[in-house]
Amino acid sequence: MKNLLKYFLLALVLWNCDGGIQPGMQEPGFSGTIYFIGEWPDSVKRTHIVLFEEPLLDTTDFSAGNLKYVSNEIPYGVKEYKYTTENNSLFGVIKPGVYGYLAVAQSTLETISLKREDWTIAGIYYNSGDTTKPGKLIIPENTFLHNIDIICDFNHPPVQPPGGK
Amino acid sequence: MSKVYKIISGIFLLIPVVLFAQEGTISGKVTDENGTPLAGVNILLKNTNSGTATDLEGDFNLSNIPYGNYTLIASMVGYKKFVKNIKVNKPGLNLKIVLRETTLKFNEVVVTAGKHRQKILDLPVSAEVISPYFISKKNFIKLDDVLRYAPGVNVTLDQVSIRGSSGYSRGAGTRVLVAIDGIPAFTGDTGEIIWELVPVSDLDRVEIIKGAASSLYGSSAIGGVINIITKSIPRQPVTLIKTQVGIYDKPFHKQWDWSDKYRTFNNLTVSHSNSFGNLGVAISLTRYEDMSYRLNDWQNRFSGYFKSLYKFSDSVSLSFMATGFYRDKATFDYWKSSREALVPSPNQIGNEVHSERFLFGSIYKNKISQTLSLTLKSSWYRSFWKDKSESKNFSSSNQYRVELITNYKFRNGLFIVGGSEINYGTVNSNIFGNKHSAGFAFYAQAEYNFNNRLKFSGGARFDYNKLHNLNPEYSFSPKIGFNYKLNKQTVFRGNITKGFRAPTLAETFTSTITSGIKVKPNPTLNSETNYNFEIGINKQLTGNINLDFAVFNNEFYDMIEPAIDITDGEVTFNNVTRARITGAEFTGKFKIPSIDFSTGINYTLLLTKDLNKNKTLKYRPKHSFNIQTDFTPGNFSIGADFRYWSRVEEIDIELVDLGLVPNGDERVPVYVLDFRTGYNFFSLGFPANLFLTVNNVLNYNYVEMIGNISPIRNISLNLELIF
Repeated sequence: MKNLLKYFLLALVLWNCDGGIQPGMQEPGFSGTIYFIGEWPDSVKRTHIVLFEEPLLDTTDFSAGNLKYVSNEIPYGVKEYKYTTENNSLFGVIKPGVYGYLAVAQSTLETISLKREDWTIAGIYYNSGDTTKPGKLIIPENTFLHNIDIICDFNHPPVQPPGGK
Repeated sequence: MSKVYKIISGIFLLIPVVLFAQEGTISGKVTDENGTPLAGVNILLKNTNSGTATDLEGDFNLSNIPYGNYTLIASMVGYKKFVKNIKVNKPGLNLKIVLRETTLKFNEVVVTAGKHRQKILDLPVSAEVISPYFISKKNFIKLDDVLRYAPGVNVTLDQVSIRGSSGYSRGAGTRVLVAIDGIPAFTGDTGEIIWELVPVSDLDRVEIIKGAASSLYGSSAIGGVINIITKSIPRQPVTLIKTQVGIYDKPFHKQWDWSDKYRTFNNLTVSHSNSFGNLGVAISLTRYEDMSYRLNDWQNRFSGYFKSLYKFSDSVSLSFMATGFYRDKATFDYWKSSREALVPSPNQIGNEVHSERFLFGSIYKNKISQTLSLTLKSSWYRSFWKDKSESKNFSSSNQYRVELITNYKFRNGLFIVGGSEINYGTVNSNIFGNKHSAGFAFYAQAEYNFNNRLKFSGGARFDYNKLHNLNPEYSFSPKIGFNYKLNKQTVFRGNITKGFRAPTLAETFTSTITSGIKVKPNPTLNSETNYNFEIGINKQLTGNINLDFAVFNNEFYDMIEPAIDITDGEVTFNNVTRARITGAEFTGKFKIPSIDFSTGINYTLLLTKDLNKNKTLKYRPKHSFNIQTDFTPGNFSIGADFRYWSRVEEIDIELVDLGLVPNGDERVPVYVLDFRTGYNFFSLGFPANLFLTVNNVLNYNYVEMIGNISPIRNISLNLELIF
């Protein structure tokens, strides 16, 4: 009986030498800083970083199907906000791929709405200083991008995608 | 002359008595390992006619024992036999005897969860009893940690489930009724069990009744009942000082090592009990501090427990109980990711909850005659918590209950339990609103005993529940059962019961916005119900082997779960699920007295199905297996426990898909091996027990709830001083 127990315990130890749950690989994602210039509008109730797969060329592009990530709320009134997509998701998981529109969006509603007219774009991510069109964000496999910064200038708001108020 | 002769003759007659009597007295006291005197212990000198039994104070006295060598035996049911060779060579020999608790023979275990005392083998349902010695020797601090080792019981974080009745809902709406001395102990707002309220150092035993018990206990007993019985108060003063220190090992994976120092935990309990005439009093204070193996998971707690019992006569008594605590605890909801599994997401750091929970109860018992007895129970559960989140959430609730129980025993073998209960609750919270609830119930259960072999039982309970200004709900919960003793070794049992659980105030009225997601109230929420069927057999083999096997089926209707309303995207509690849980349970208990070895094995198979979604139910392992071994030669004890749960198939995958719990789908089967050893110093004249425990010896990493690594390897030392 004792021997049986001994072998049983030994088998268990060998069986479990992998330690159970393993640390995962680097998750794809990005981080950076949002800079806010000027006075925040009084009517703003919530501010988020939003990531769309396809560029917002038409009113129908502002949809749940195209929206891939929404950050947690950015506090009202801040001048600078450092962010990372790790553990900062209100919605969505960042996956490797090419994304057509990354921006900071603001709403005058307390709750989250998916209607285009409820949102204003305060700042857009551009590639290499080219502010003539929204930049593409390319996230390779197992890669975490840094310095994905966005400037929100309340005095000079960016070109709004179609469908706004 | 004749007078002088008589005196001289008398003196000469006495001389042999004084010079040659050579007789002594053996006296002493018998206690258990906690220092509580044991009454009725048989004391015997082997191969002589000398014997006695201890009195109420545990004292005994054997007089006129001729000088010589003897073997003294002290024995009592439920305790290991004490045998000692002694030498009587002086007039008075005083002994201090400590009896160690042993596993009771299965047919000797008594439970009260049926609202009266019954032998466990007379029940129509499956039941289990956990002894306090098991709690001490494993250095348990919270009762839910103990329950993980009970057959058919699963615990997910702190939410208990009997035979798969519950998944995980952050404690809200328990489907297992937990009672302390028969007094229900769940909060008035969320209806959850607060395990820290249970005075672990003052327990006599824990009874677990498996399967719906709403016919006696009403709402929440839909999955079963855990009845916690506190110690009776000894007639002599007993003081217990229990101190525990422990340390967490470093994590298995170096990259999880977030702290530059070892994390520790400690616990100190001081308790005293005494009797003054007809009044008995017990009081205990506990301080617990845990740094935790995870960041932002620490806690500090101060607990208190008080119990008094006044006996007006042998048949009339009044007891009062109070238990409560103050606690500050950091909040660890989910890990940051599996790369930093012992660290929470950054937005959780700094979150704390302060809570104050108190349960007051009184029990009046009157044994009016040999056939009729009355019990009146009343209680007040006061609960308050507030967090340090941005929205400053808080909830304050009061739950009041009064229950009258009547037991009547007819001469023809008929036994009836009847009772009535009223309850009223209030809640003041920024999440649940300012609400109240009320309810009343009547129940009766009859047991009829045919020739001491076949016993039938049947009964029903009617419940009325009203939440605030909503329409009231009515529930009728019947049950029938049988118990048949084929012979002294074989007992069959079976029952069919209906259970129900009324929605809590929290499930009905929660209104809050968390991270932009709105949780809205649902005033149309109805009670969930189930029909439970079980049949089992218990076989006692050779006195040292007991086997038990049961199969069961549970049909759930209108199970309450949180769900997203597709019309507006808001979260609400709904009656969403029709579910089925079928399973089997095997328990084996084996003893080899000649080498002081005992072991217990149990296996539970759970086949669960959400019949609407055609999936298994969340957080229910299909296979659970436990083995516990004990080797107790003399004053020394050593043991090991192993626990296996198969990998749960279904989890809260929505939380993973939404990105709220990165790598949240990481889960593995559970393999936990614990080791323990101890030494009893009583026979050496030092009133102490020392226990060393190593939990999770393999330092195996697993989750019960997604994003929450269970405790890593930890070592603790527990010293109990009893005087």
